[in-house]
Amino acid sequence: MRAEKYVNKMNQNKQIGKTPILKKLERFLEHNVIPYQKWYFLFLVIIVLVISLANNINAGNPILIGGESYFHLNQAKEVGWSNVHYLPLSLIQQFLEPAIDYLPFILAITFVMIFQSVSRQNGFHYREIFMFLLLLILSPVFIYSFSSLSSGVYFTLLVLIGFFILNSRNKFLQILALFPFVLATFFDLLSTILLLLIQIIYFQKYLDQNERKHSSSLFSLLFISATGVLIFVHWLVLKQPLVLGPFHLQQPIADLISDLGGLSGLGFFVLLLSLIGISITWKNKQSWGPYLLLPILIAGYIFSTQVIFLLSLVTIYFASAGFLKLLERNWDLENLKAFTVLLLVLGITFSTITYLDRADQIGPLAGEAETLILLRNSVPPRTLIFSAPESGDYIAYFSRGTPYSTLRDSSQKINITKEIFTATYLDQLSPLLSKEEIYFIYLSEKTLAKLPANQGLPFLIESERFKLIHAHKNNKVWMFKKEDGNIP
Amino acid sequence: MKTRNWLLIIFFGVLLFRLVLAFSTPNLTYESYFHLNQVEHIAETGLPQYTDHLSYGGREQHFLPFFHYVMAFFSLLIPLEIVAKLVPNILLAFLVVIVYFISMKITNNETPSLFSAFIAGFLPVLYATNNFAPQVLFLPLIFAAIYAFLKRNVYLYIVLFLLLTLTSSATFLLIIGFGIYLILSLVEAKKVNKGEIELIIFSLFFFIWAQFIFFKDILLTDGFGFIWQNIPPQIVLEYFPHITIIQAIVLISIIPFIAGIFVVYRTLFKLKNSKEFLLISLVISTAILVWLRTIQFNFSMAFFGLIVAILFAPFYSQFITYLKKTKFINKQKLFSQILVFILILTMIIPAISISLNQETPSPLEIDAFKWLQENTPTNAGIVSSLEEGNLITYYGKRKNLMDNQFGGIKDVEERFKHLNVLFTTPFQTEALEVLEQYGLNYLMLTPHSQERYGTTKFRFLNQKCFERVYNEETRIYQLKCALKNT
Repeated sequence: MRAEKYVNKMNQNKQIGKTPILKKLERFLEHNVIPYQKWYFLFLVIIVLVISLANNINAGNPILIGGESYFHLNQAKEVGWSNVHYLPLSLIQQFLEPAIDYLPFILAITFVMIFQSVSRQNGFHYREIFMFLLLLILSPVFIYSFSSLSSGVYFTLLVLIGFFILNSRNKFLQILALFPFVLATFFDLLSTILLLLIQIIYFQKYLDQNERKHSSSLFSLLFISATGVLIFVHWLVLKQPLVLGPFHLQQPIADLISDLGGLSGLGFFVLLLSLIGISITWKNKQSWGPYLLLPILIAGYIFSTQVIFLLSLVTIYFASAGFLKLLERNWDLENLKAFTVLLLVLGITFSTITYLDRADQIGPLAGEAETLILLRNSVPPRTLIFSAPESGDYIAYFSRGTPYSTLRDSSQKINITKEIFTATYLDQLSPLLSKEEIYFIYLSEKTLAKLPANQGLPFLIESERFKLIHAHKNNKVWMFKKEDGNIP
Repeated sequence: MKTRNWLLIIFFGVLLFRLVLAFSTPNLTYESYFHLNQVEHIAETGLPQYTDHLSYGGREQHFLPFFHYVMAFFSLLIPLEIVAKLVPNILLAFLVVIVYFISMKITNNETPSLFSAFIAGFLPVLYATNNFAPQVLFLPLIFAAIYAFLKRNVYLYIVLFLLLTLTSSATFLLIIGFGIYLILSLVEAKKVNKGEIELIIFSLFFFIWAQFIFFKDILLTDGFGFIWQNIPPQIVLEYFPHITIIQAIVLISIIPFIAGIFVVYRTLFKLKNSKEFLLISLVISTAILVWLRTIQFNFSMAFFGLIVAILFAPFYSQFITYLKKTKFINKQKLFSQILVFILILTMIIPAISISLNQETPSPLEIDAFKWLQENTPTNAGIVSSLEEGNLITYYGKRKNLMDNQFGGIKDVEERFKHLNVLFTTPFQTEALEVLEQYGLNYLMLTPHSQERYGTTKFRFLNQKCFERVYNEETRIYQLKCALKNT
């Protein structure tokens, strides 16, 4: 019955094509896929994430990828008033540690299920939901974000849960939506600002349509005010950063377009489709919400590429609109349309497959993790360890040491780090290391590959003041001997 | 005489002229030898040589292979040395016919179209007659595709576009041109034909998909940087020189240049003819890509020159129409004759000059490179100037230090610096360090290298460490010693 209801609704929609192949595709999708899209998408999520997981397991890498994952895990180890929102993760770490590796996977499934419910509750068309989720699940940013512990994902999930509760018929339950919304404000200021805008868009829609879905406009004011107050609390009292991070060396273009070798991002075809979608939905007055969010997200992305997950949600919204428009538009040349659709499908899956192919190179790599775990046995906890700033979170988690610098440190510290890396003489390097009390130096395989072998730190480290104490798959740890020749 | 006959006369005249110039200049331009190598490899094995063990001492190549397959096909019928001069000049001569048809499509007038064809045939910038490179196939293909687009011959356009995409990444020029065409149409409130929009969308997606398939690895490692071809900064100006108006006028010829500017002005601000919009959009896209240094100067001038040649047709039509309103109404024939005379004067002489001044290796230099194959070990590494690197791999079948295929080479700047060191340093230790670093054991000093570096010898040479093993116009030295740690 449910399938029939969907099919009847579909028949009212535009056809996607007149050529036999497109007609068959349309019939197949509308009868066999879209009515059961919940299950198909679960299956797709499992396939995509399992492939990524399997690649990492096969390479011997830790299951959780990305510096941000280990930043959050480090934070969860020491929960206090300033980071009380890490309490759930801390509890999981203490009592269910093996489950942490699979937490993103579980969250992915939850995300897809809640997203579909919330979208349907808010009147999105089945085709729109289908296209959006298809493009999202196949995107490298989805694969990366749900293979790691990502604040963008948690924020989005909490917001979805909030709207899910808000859409319930029980008016007393609706007030409970405040809790996930409040939790969602604990990541960074930009997320809180976005939440405020999303709430304004949401409540404005119901006020515009005179829908009495919620008690009154006072109700909406309660939510919006709470979020507004929290912005100031987080900014002035808790001193939250505008955007959490960075956790990797940022490359704005490569991080946006995954085909250029960035950490995650979107495929080039999805971006092109989003440009088409932006130009098309501009005429639709009801679609003003994403246009409000887009410039803020773009500005946030320019400030820090950590915003990529949130930016990708809005971009994929436009891309799905663009793709649907291309499908539903009557082309003069129907055969050309079929070929263009095929190209798009090939291009999108090409980006996905290319990303899955290299997902096991993101890090931390097996050698890196093993070297740092070995180091844990050689040095006391919290020992200061010098490395490239991008390795800082891995050092803190795997070796239990204290990284000398991370990507989030002050420019003064980053400058000293650069000075150490580029020192040309031992007389220049030794005083720096002594002054900063650095006695352990860790250089990962990736760092060594970037540095010239015959100058700077990699060259000076071969001198007698340094002793190689660990080496595993070209990840190395040296000890810097004190001036008196003693070992620290 | 019928128009068709005039067109054939121009075509065969251009072809003969080109072939005479091509065969009177010995050998091919330096960059041609990379493509010759690839054509030979395809003829022997059926596949392009994407893994090259000789260039840069061993590297992966990334290029589009359609041009090489076409030439390999011809080389099965005719010797490659003849194919390398004959086929490119035939392809470029075909531009005469293509430009004629495009001009006819725009003006529907035979005489101006013949003038355009004549200009396209004798455009000085196209007279590198000994250049064996994908541009010689790309230019006829792109203008044929433009003609198919204007004529709305969908299937022909699709086939030509597919071939273009497999010939050169410069197809991007067409895509950007289409984008500017859509913007111009929007600004001028001109409705773009639905079929055109669909073709443009298809072209965009197909081009990007094809580029990702062929250049996936290099995009992942170099990102968008690969668009700039990884040219060492020290020689970027050779590929993207600062051009003056005078130089542009010489390469394109003054009359088509002025006519082109006039037509652009009239089209953009007065007449707003959509077919000319497309051509002007292509001019703008060329200018943008040159400014961004994504396409090389010579190629951009060739493309610009051909567009201007086409735009000469509407200029001529409009001029004749204007002339008919004046008292010179009876002087049309005289005007045409004067025009032909000026065109011949301003185009043919520069064309001959450009052709005769092409940089090609001399026969004696070629002999030296051939000598390498027979008289040096197979794993020998040879030092020569940058341009001659392809000759080492093609004739000598030996490793080179570097050549002009820079894409994907990580240390290209450092290599170029070291290459310069070898030709300029007076210090033997410094030279030996470089030679040892890259596994090089022979040095070549050709007249070309001598002229390029302003030297008649390697300044660090001495008899203890280097033995002269070839002593003609070109000298080849073998390394006999090595640096020792003390």
